[in-house]
Amino acid sequence: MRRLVFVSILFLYSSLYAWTICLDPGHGGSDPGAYGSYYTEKEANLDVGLKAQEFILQIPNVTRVGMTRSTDVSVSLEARVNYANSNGFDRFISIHHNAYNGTVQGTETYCYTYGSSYSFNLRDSTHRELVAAYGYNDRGAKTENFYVLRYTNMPAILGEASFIDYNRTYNESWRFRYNWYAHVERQAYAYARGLAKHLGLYYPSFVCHTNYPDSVNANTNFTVRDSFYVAPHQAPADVVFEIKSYASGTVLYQERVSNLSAGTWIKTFGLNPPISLPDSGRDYLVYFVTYVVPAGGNWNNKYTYVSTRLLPTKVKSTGGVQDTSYIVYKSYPAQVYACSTFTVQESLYIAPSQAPTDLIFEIKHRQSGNVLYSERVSNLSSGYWIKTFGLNPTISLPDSGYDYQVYFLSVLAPPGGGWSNRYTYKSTYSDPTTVRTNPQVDTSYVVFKSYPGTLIGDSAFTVVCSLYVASSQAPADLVFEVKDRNTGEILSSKRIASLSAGYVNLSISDTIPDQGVDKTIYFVGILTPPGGGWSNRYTYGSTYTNPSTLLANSRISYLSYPDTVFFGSVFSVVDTVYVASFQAPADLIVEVKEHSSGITLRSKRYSNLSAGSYRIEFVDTVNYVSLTDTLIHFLSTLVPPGGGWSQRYTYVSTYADPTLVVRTPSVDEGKPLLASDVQIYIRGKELIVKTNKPAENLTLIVHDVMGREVERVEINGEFEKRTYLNVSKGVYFYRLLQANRTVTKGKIVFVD
Amino acid sequence: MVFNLLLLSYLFKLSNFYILVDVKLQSELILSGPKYEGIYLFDVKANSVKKLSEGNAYKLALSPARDRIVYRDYNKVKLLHFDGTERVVAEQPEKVGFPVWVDDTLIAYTYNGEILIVDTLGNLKHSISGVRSYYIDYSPKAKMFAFQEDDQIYLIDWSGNKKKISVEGTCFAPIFSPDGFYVAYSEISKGIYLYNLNLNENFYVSKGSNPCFSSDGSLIAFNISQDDGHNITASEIYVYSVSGKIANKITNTKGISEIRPIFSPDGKRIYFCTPEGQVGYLNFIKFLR
Repeated sequence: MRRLVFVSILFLYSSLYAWTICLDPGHGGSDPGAYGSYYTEKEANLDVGLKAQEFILQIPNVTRVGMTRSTDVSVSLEARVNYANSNGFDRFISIHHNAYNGTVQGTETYCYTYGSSYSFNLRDSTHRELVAAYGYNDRGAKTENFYVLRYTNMPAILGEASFIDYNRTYNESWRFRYNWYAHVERQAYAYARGLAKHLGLYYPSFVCHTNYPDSVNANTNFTVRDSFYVAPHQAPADVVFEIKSYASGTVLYQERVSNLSAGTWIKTFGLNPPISLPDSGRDYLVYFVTYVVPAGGNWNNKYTYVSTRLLPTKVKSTGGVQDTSYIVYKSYPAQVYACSTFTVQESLYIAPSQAPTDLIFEIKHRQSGNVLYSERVSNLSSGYWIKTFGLNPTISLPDSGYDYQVYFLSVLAPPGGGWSNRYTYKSTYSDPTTVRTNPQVDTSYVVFKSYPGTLIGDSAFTVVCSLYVASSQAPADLVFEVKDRNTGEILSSKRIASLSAGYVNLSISDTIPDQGVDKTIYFVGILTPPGGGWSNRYTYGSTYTNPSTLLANSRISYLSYPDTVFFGSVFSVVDTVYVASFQAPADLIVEVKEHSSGITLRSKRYSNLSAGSYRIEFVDTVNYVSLTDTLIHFLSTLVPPGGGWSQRYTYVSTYADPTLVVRTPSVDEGKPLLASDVQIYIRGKELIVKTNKPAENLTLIVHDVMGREVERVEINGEFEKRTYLNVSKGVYFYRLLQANRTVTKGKIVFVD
Repeated sequence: MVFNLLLLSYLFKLSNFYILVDVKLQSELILSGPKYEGIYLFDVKANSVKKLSEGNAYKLALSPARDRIVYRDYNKVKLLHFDGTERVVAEQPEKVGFPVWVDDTLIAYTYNGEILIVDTLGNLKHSISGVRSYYIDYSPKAKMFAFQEDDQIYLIDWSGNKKKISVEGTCFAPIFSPDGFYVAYSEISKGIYLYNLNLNENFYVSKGSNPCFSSDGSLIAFNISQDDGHNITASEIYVYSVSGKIANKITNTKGISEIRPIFSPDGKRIYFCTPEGQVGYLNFIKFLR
C-alpha cells in the first residue's frame, strides 16, 4: 500500500516538476577500471554515459543531465559526489561494468543499504531494464555502501550491466569496442527507460538493428531488419534507413517509413524495393544508419539513431564491373485520387561511361499512351542519386469522370536525348497506378508533350499538346500562343476551335518571324469556351518554367555604298552584319564584280566572326585593270569559316543598282571619245547619255525616221546628261558628234 | 613559509555513521547521518551526540553568532536552534537553494533564478535576479555572493552585477575566505582553485577536495584521496598557505583516511571525518620560519 501511494505521489509530481539528473561514468583517466581484451571499463562506462545523457534529455520534464566526466579524465569519488551535491541534482546514476575471471556474465544494480524508498525504486526499475537490454544472467538488485551511494545527497544507484572481461562464448569487450548491434545504445537506453519509469514519465524513442549482413555479394538482393520504438511524446515520427559508403559517407540507398504512431515497430528494409549494391570491380565497405526523426524531419533534428559504422558490411565483387546505369522505383502510389498531389521517388545509378545523363520522368495514360506529366532532370553526373518527383512542381492528375490507370516511365538518356537514344529505362506499366475519380470533379487539362527547346526565326516548328477536354467544358477552343518570356509579348497565336470532350494529342505547326536578336520564349496552350480567351479560360498549360530559345537568323545589309566612283580613286562600302548564334563563327566575303560579266575584280574575307552585330567598312581603290565595263556591283556573302558561295548562309548584292566607274580626264586627256566610252539609253521619256570621262563639245542629235531633227543636246564636260523628249512613240535615230566627228549612232524606240 | 607539526590524529568513539558537516564551537561539531540525513550536535568533551532535527544537513549554514542553523528542506528554508526547536522561515512551491547567512538577521537563498534575501521571519528584503543555482556563498566583507551556474563560478553584487571568475572546466562549490578577498572552488578533474578578487586572477592550489578556510583566512585545509572507483582507499589532509602559495601534507596515517577537514574557530584544531563514518581531529600548530 505504501509502495502504491509512493508511486502515485511520484507520478503526479513528475509530470509537473523539472528534473535534473547526474550521470557518473565510473573510473577514467589513470584509472581504467576493469579490463576486457578489446575495451576497458572506463571506455565502456563513458560510451554508455554519453549515450544515456542523450536519451535522458529526451525524457519530458528532464531539464538537465550533468556528467561527472564527459572525457577520459581522472575524477576522484569525492569530486563526483561534491559536484552532484552542490548542483542539487534530483537523481544520481553511476555507470560501471564488472569483471572477474572472464567466465562470469550477468547484471547487477546497487543502491545504498540504508537508502530511501526512492533509491530502491530507482534501482529496481533500472535493474529490470538492464537485464532486458542484454538478456544476461540476472545477478540481482543489491545494496552496498559504495562511497557515491552513501555520500550523495539524493537517491543514487550504481549499475554493473555486464562483466566486461567475459570471453567464453563471445567477447563482451569486443561487443563494446565495435558497438555490436548497438551494444552501447541498448544499455544507455535501459538507464533512460528505467529512470523514466521510476519518475513516471515517457521514455524516449529508440532504434536498433536486429538483423543485418556482415557481407553481401554485389548485385544481390539483401534485407536489413530494424526494431524501433516511437515514444508517445515524439509521435508521429519517421524512420529513415540509409546505406552509406564507408569511405566517403555518400548515401547509396535511402528508405523512409513515415508517420509512425507511438509504439513498437519492426521493419524489414529491402523487400520492396529490393536493395542491391553494384559491383565496382573490387570489394568495398558500406554501413547502415537508421534514425528516428519528427515526421518529415531529417538528420539534423533526429531523436535517436543507430549505426553499424564500427562494424561495416563488406560488398564483395563477383568479378564484373558495374558500368551500367539503372533506375529503381523506391516508392510510388498504387492508387491516387484525381486532383490530389502525390510524389514518386526513385533511386538511380549513373555509370561513369554514360555521364552526364538526363533523367526524363513521365506519367502516361495506360490506355492511350498520352503523357499526362513530364519532367526532365538534366546533366546528372555519375554516381548514385535519389530523386523525388512531385515536390516542385507538384503532380496532380485530372479527374476524367471515371477511374483510369496511369503508369510511370523513367528514361535515362544522353543530354537532350529521349526515348530513341536511351541508355535504360524503368516503367511501372505492369504494375500501374489507379487514378480514382471524384464524381464531383471533372477538369480539363493541357500538357505540352513535346516542343522544341531551340527554334529559328522564320523557320517552321511543331509543338505537340496532350489535352483532355472535360465533358462539362466541351466543346472548347485551344488558343496556342508563343510569348516573349521577358516582355510577355505575344509573338504568335493560333486557335483550334471546337474541340470535343475526351483526350486528344494536337500537333501545332507554326513559324515565328525572325526577331532580329535571340529571345527566350515559351508556349502557352489555353483551353477556353468557344471564342473565349485568357480571361475566361478553363485551364492552361505552359512551358514558362522550361522555356525555349528563339534564335535570330544571320543577315547582311548595306549601310552605304557609292553610286559612282572615279577610276583610280578610293571608296568604301559599309556592311551591317548580324551573325546568328547558331551560325557563329562565320566568315564575311565582300566582293567587287564587273557588272556585265560577273567577274570578281576584288575580294576580301573577314574571318571567324562570332555571334553578334557588326559594322564592317570595306575600303578599296578603283584600279581594276581587267575592268572593261563601266559598271561594277558589290556582293557580300556570309559563309561558314573557310566556306564559299555554295555554302552561304545569306548574302546581299547591289546588282540591281550598280555603281558607275568613271575614267578621269587626267587618264584619258586628249584622247577622242570612243563609242565604248558612251552609253545612250531611254528610261521612260528620258534620254540618258553617260560617258566614262568628261568630254567636251559633244552634240547629240535625234531625228525621226523621216530624217527630221526632233532634239539636239549639247554636252560639255558632264558624265551624264538626261533630256526629256516630248515626242510621240515610235522609232528614232540618234547621232553623237564630237567636233563634227561621229562618236556613235544608233536607234531608240519610244513607247508610251 | 609555514611549517606544520603533525600531532596525533584522534578518532572519536561514535556508534553510528556520521558525516562531519561543520564546527559550531571549539568542542561542538555538527554532524549528519549517511546521505546527510539528520542534523546532530556532537559535544566533543562529553562525547555525546544529540539529534537536533530529521532535516537534511547538506550545506547547512551556521549563523555568524554560531547560535542557529539554517538549512534547506527541499522547498523550505528552516531555522534550527540548538535546543532542537525549528521553524520554517520561507517556503516555495518547488525546490529552493541552500541558504546562507548574510548577517545574523538576514538569510539568503535561491529560488526560480533569483537570490531572495529574507529576515528570520521570512519577510523578503531584497532580491537579485540572474542566478540559476542552488549553491551560493556570501561574504559580508566583500558584500558579494558567489555561486555556481552551468558548471562555472560567478560573483554577483547586490545590484545584480554578475561576473564569471572560474577557469574553464566543470567548476563547483565556491566559498569565500573570511576576509572576503578570495573565493576557493573546485574543478572536477583538476582540483582546488583560488580566485583573488583584488587581482582578478585564479591560482591553482592543488588536486584534492573539500577546501576549508581557517578563521583568519590565511590557510586552507583540504584532503587528497585515492580510491578504487568504488570506495576511498586512502586520504590525507593538506594545508595551503594563501600568502605563501604552498601546500603541506599534515597527515600520514595509513590506517585512517581523513576527509572533509574543517578548522576549529581558534585554528588550533582540524576536525575531519572518514569514509567509514568516523569523526576525528588533529591538533594543529602553525610555525613561521
